[in-house]
Amino acid sequence: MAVSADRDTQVASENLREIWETPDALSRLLSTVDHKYIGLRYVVTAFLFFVLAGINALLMRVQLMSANNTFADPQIYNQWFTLHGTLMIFFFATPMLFGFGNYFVPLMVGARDMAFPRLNAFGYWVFLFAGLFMYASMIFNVAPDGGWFAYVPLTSKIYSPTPNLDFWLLGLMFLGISTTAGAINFIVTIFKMRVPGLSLNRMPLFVWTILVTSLVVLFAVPALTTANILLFLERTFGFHFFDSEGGSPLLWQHLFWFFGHPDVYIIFLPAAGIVSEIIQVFSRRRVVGYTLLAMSAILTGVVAFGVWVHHMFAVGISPLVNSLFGAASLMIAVPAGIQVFSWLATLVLGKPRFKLPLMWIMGFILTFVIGGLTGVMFPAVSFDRQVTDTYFVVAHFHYVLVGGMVFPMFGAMYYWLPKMTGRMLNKGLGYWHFWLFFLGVNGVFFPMHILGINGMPRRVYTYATDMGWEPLNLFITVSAFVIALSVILFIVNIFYSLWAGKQAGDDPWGGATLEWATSSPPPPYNFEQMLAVASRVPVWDEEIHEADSSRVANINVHDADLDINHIEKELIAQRDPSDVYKLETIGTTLITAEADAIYHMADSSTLPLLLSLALLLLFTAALFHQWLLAAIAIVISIFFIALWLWPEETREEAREETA
Amino acid sequence: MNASTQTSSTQTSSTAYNLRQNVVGARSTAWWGMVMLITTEAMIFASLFSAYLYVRANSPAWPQGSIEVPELVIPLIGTALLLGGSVSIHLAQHAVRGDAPVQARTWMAVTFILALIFLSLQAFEYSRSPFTPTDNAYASLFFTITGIHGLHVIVGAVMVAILLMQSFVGYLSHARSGAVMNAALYWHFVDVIWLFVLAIIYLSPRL
Repeated sequence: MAVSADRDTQVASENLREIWETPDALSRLLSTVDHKYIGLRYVVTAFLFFVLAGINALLMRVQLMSANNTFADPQIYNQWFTLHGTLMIFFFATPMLFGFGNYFVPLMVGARDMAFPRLNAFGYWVFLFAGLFMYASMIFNVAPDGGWFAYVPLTSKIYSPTPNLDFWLLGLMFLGISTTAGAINFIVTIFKMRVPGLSLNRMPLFVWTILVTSLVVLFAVPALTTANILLFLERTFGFHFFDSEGGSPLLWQHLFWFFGHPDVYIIFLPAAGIVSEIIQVFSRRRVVGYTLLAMSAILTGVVAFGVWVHHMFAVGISPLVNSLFGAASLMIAVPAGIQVFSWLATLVLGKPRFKLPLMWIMGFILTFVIGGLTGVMFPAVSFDRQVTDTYFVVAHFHYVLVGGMVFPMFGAMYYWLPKMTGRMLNKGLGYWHFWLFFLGVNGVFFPMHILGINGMPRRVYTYATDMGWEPLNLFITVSAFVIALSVILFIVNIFYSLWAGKQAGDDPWGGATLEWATSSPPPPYNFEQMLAVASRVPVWDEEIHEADSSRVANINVHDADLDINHIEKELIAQRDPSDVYKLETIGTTLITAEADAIYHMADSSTLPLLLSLALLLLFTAALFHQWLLAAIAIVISIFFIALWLWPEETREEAREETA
Repeated sequence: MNASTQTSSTQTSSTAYNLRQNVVGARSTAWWGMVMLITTEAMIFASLFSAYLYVRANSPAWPQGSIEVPELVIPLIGTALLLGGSVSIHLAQHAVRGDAPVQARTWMAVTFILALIFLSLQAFEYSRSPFTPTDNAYASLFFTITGIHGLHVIVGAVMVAILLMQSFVGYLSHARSGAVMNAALYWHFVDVIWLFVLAIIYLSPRL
């Protein structure tokens, strides 16, 4: 549904398009800063890494389908499972959710773009190049082979002398720049760019979870970056942090898991936000326990930092410490439980329509709860020691990650792709996709519980016939190909829908939040009018207003002279082609979202691309130990940063010049 | 929501720019961006300090091997230089807020020079160090932590240098004070981190 049109709308939207659109296709490719293009690129690229990492998994399953199989040698098998985990966690899960965030957070808060549009473009390019950097190792057959948590001393120079691990260390340091830039951008966008009236207690839950996730990123990722810097120094220059020259191998584990466990919530929280949004819309009622859901996201984000030692119960830390971290790990079940019960209550009290997005969420609830239940078993330290490094753990975390992230991700695809492309996905193919995926996932991961209890260790490249593990492994391999088939159906569905899909219209699902109040796909400027809202579910309550309507007075915009829409028109009227300050939008206060300032937004630019290329040069030089080249890359980077920060004229200065 | 129709906001006759442009501090996105950058950078140092203290706690002697506790003369001079840099960038920020670009430029130049002296002193300290980073974990941590802090001083110096260049082409006015404020914020952060470096790396081994 659209905001009531007035006679200026046509003119206004043409003007807006001229202001916000990067006109020709080539410069759009290289220089656009539009959060929608960037978000879509994140989603597509992350999905590509999902497929690549999935192919690694299939290769592993082929090797494991029979005992004493010789399809792969142990070295290449190590590369497969390391790259599978690394790509799935770092280059698929987080960037995929950041992609949805990039596309939908500005729309959901009614903003014209992210707070730092160029930084946003930069974040995508860095993600792409870091991913290519990491995957190049696979092509040259020197992929990382130390497992996704790369424990020392296995990954130290003496035991891993080849450059495999350097790809891993540098690739993740490089990617960390992108993740951090994205997180900062989300936080500032959510704090300062919400439309008037969208106070914190009205923010959509997806926006809440992206906010908490971004804060967790800022506190967690530096620990990984630090660990990677230290190990890189140790491997490259012979420093000592983790070895017997006074260092400690456990230091790696502490640093890694201080990042690694919160990372689980970095992945899960935005997915939980997607679940809240879809359940709300398809239950046709406001989500039950909005405040509790927002609070549990925050609580999860905080407690996430107090549980990392539960990955290390088996390494010989004192029982007291183990118990404390065990208790904290049990506590995490509380906010998770609150969320699950809120969602169930919403379904029970609403009138659920089991369309495809909701089907995926139902699949999520089933698989995630199974993963959660095995999760609650691990804080019992004695049980944990029994199953550590067996397939039971593999089963657990795949239930949590596939259940907790991949199911909501596919739900989000069916829910949001119509908004992004303007076309509906095919229902028949969609149901096939869902059921094959659901059966495949349970067929792959449920038997792993049994294999784990029967003692099959993870990461072994083969096993003996008399262990009795063969039938289940064969079953798992077959199920894995069922998953692959379902994903192929999904890819077919996307191309089919782009080619012949039904037109989606603005609001195919009867959505509740602001992204459904604009066209599909949205115009470059997102919304024609600067909006103001007065409800948590503004589209349902028809509580969207042009910001100059009299209702604005009731939604915390106290400035009596304030007339946002008038300002917008004024800006358009004053615009001339040489006006460098054409991109303007309104900033609001952090808590109550009162209109507070006018922000000048950055124009499209190739600098983000150039800077990330310079950084790619830096990391490649470091990989080959070409320190002169690295120094040159740093100088080039500083030059691009200086250009980036070079100020444009202010409006006043421009006026003085023309006068 | 309460739907009472107040008319106070419909005074469309008002002039357009009631909302301020070029806002600074917590009203601007740039300030928040810098605060978040500082938060995540602070976590890098928190991780480094934790690594230092963890290795130390698991080490029978500290410093390890035959290394002596670090000398204090150079780091204490360094402390004075960095604190002085914080004062001068603060004065630069005040000057630019008061539309006094020449003073602002002078104070930023002072900050830049103090940073250069600090970095030279650090290089001097490294050059006369009786141990190298590859001797043992203590030595590695000493050089890594002071080195990464030094890199942050370089970043701060580059920031000030870019602002100085901008000031010479006349881009330093009240309307642009946000950039100077952000650079100042970053400087104060590098300063505070230095106080931790001083306490943990230089003073604590004497305990």
